[in-house]
Amino acid sequence: MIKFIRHYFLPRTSNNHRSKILHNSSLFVIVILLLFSSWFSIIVNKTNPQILGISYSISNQELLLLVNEQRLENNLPPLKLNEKLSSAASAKANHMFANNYWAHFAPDGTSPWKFITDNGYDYIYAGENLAKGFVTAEDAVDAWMESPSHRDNILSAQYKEVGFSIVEGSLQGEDTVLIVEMFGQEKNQFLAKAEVDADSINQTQVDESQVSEDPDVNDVVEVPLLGTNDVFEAKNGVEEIVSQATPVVDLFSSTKTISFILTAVLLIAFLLDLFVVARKRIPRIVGDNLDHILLLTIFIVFMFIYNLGVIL
Amino acid sequence: MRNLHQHIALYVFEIIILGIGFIVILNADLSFWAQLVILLFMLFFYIAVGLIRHTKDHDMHGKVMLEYISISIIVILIFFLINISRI
Repeated sequence: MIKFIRHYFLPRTSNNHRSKILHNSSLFVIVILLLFSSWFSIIVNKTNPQILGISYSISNQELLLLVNEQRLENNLPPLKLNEKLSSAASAKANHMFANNYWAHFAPDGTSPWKFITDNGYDYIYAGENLAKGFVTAEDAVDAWMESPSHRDNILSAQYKEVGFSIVEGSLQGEDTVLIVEMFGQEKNQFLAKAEVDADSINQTQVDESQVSEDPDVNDVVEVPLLGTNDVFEAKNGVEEIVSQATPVVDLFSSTKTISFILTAVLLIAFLLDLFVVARKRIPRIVGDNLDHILLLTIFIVFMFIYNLGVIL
Repeated sequence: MRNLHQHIALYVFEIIILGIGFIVILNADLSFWAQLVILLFMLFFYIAVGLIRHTKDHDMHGKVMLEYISISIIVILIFFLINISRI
């Protein structure tokens, strides 16, 4: 075994002073194995996604909890779940899959606000957030919080309610999971608050010039932003929506792990080869190890960071 | 390795180009195929820089070229493999 490892990972006379795994013949075998693995993975994924597929589990409760946690940390009231907004989010997700686009505004010009009004939500403020490819609610919320504009939206005080949809499908040739969150503040809420404010103003004789007793309800603000939900509303009986798939083997994590190991093995082999040959000063004609080490190091860092999730 | 100092500028240039390429793939909202095109350009650059350096050192050989191409194909296939769920 030790002899085998030395032969494959250390430059010696037996391997013509080049680690055997770095010989072109070995690299060719690796290429063939990778080709076979790719072909096998595609076939199994397409025919038996319950065995080898995307594993994800996202629930509205988790989204509610995570986003409202962020709001509470910033002394903002939690958002309440609204069924009309959830229906609007579902309509938007289906519209994106049906028309094959990934954007706030559809190619035909359909705005996110149309889905909201079409579902009977008469808003004074409305917003939308999108995420695709995330496998957990935590990852999606983390990504939004890392984006300044999305973070600002999550922490907006303008929004009182939220609705969302988690849908799996094929978008622009990719199998993915979309999260659509829409949120807003209804006109009647705004008016009710204004009336309450007006009552309290009358009672306390506060300067009326500072209060709008008849708010301009046409002054609608439309801001695309991130969705949140209300933990407390959910605890009071709102049905939990869980979208999940649990194949026997998770395709992304398994292929990523295999790829990571393979790249690491090659990187170690190149490093060992570099140091042993440099120390022994063995002259030979091979590719520049440092070149390959640079590429594989950058690539392994890339793989470590790489995630399928995208926000918009 | 023996020519590290001689080619330091090329190595730095290579790191910058490869780094920028991977950062673009990570951060830009691109389809898999667009990402693959960027990766192909990066690897083409990697092969070209490697071969230029070997030519300058007068140790250019067919098997050296094959080695660069093999490593590039492995990187492409690994990228393809981890993105199979998107295809």
